Amino acid sequence: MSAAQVAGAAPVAMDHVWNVVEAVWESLLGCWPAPAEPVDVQEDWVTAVITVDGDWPGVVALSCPPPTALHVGRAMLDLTGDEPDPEPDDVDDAVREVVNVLGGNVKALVPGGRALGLPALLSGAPVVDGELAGELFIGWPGHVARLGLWHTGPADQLLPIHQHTEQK
Amino acid sequence: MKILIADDSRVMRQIVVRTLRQSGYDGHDVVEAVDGADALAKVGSETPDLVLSDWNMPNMTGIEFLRALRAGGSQVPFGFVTSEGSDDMRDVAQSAGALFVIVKPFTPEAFQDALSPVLG
Repeated sequence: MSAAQVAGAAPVAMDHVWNVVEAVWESLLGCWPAPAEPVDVQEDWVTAVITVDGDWPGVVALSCPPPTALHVGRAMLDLTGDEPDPEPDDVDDAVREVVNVLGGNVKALVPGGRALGLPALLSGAPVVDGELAGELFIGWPGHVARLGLWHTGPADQLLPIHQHTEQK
Repeated sequence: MKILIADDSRVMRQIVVRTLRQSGYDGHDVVEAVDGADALAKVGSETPDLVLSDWNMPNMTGIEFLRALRAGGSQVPFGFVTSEGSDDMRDVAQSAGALFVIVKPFTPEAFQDALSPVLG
């Protein structure tokens, strides 16, 4: 697995997070992911972020290229063949929902997870006031995504995510 | 039978509808709500036979929606479809009157297990 884990930062093994990724991909996208080589998040990538508050406050962020975001939207809406692409709002909604499900499951994995924020979208790599605790690079045919997990301060004491966030 | 689906994600509402069909519960009338407040109003106007609600929504969360229903005297069968399925949340849901919690990501089989006592 292409998983990077920062020593002492994450209270949850990233292979457990990978198991969540597999279940989410199979259920929502209808495919089975494989570990991918690390890749830099580009400026035009779509990133969906969500906060997890509790004893281990953190941020979960999923980043992918725009064509992959469109693929996620088509897959979640079960669009096939010549069916037209979904509206941009639905593509955004789909990517937000993927990180919402990932965040909810991460909240269940970390100790004392008490509250999940609402997912938001931004462009490019997230800039988080916190420590990168682990990351996964997720591959499936023709696509790649990067999942990051940060340890932050309590969500009500800071705005942990910079850039132009758009509240869901 | 009429089913109210409350989720702030339109895409997820579509997935819930599709999963209902895949789990064998086809042919029911479906009403959609975009958050807990919208859902609370639609329970009054649409009188659904079953509510499937997300937990984490703006304006009014799913648990606030359920508590408002019960406080208002509605005993409509209610289940959560949520990404958060900790034991604590299941206890809170059950105490408030929810029949079941389906955790995202889910399968048609999870829907069958949860819904068969309600829909047959």
